[in-house]
Amino acid sequence: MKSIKRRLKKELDSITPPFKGSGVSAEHVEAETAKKPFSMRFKAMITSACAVVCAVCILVCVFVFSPTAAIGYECVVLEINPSAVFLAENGVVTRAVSLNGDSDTVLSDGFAASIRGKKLEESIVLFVDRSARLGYLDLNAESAVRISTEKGGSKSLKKVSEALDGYFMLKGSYTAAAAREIPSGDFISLLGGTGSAAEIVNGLSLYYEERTLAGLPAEEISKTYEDNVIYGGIKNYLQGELSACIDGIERCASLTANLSVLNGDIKAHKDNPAVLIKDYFTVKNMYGDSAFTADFAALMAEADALYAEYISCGGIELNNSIELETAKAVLNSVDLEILRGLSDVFSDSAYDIFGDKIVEILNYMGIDTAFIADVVTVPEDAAAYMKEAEKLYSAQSALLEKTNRENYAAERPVISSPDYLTFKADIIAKYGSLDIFYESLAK
Amino acid sequence: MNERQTDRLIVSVSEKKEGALELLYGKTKNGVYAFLYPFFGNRADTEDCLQDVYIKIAEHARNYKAGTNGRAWILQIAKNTALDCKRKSKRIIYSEEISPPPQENVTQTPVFDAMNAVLSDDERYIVNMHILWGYKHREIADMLNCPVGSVTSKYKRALEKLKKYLKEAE
Repeated sequence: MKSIKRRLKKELDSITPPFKGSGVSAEHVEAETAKKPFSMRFKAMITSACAVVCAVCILVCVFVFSPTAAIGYECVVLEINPSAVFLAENGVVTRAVSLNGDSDTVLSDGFAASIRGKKLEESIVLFVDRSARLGYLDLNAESAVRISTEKGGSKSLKKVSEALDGYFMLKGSYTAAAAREIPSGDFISLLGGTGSAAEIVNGLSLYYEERTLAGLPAEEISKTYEDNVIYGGIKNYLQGELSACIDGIERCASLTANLSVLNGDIKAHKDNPAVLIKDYFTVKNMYGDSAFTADFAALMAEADALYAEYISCGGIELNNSIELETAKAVLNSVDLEILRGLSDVFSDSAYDIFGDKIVEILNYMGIDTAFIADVVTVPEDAAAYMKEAEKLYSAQSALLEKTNRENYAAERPVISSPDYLTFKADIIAKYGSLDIFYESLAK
Repeated sequence: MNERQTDRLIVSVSEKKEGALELLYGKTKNGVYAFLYPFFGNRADTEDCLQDVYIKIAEHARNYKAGTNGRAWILQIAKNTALDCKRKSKRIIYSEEISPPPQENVTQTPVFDAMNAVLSDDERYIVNMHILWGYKHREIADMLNCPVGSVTSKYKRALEKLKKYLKEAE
């Protein structure tokens, strides 16, 4: 079957009436309409969203084949925003896969592998904790976690629920863990497949995004990559990093400009002890203060102070005049008002114009953008797509952790068991149940 | 056609450059037609409205602010024109006897017909915006105020529905 896209366009061409105008050829107008410049070669993907997800729904499905035997399967669907599913054997997680896009970030960077082999309840707590570190769950706000099991899974429900309660009390977080059992059919629908829960989970890819690519033709995969990775995640990453260090960029731009002027004064100073290369860096490395006159020493001290402040503001190490001049040029290459604007709103067209420059500026602020060069090639198959996307997830999680560090680490006194029980009782009194409370937050 | 090209063409239309409107029509008529069709459900009224849309574009191009969203501007004109046309056609129903359209050879458009028959409003909108207007999934997600994953999965579902419908129709 020919591409739907091509057929649709061809059909519409055949039924839309011809232009009824002056009949003058439009070729000369078309020639004037310049193609959109494609200046952006390097595109990075990072989502800078520090969305706080107040509602975490953990579905726990326990399907024990033989209650009396030592071996038993437990299938845990963690339905959060992020959401994931955990498969456990003998109470130990054998597989954890993502159920939505945000979970791809949480499970990235080797995290999914790190929770394999751990107890089911421990793995879920670790997932929730990582979600909190990345800003998907705000431990400082009153929120809810829903735990659901398949009918007959009350034992797993209990142990996971207790583990989560313990975690939230220890973290000083008024987050309630709502618990429910749901029919098998509903549970299987959540996983989106046929067969037993274990069979479905074992057949799922680690990342949700990979499943959305299944069956798409090459051109659609490429387009999706451009949308989601290049103009989505990479753009958002750049915006996030820019936003995080905009004040540092402003300061370093000014400091390098001032240091450049001082460097010129140092080079031209009559008391400069150097013979051939007279710049600040060479003089500093080769001569001690004792070689300086008082006047020259004061100049060098001033340059020392500027350089020290530049480093403290995040600037990368400079070793000579050429590097100083390059840093100055790069850090001052985009008007600061424009940069501040971009850190708030970063459109696609702005990204095309300024993306390269922002990558360069971030490099000079010590931000790792090396992976961006890797993800510039638009893939045509799902495997290549995910290989690049994983680099993005890794960068995303690092950025989210950095920007959310203060919120996660905020001081929260440990909650006593009676206080925590009172908190839950108050919610039940107000909402009717913890489940309803969770639903109210999820809307 | 991308945003920049649309923008330049509208500006050319406002400057009354020869051939600009024809070029704009050629590049956007399919998207406008597909956008208008659900308002009327038939080709004749959609074609009439289509003509009106481009007359209005020619009239109002001087009011278009260069560098703003040209595609959205065109779609807004299309929507307003469609609503005007519908209001007029309601009045006509009470003042004229409607005779059935003459039987003629009708060009078959199975994909377009399937789009309007089996897709939900959201799915049809997403397919139109992505395929005919060139919007990225993320831009469509912003328009619909929903996650980009929703747009991607709805788009994929829409294509599957269309393929299934077309296969059964063969």
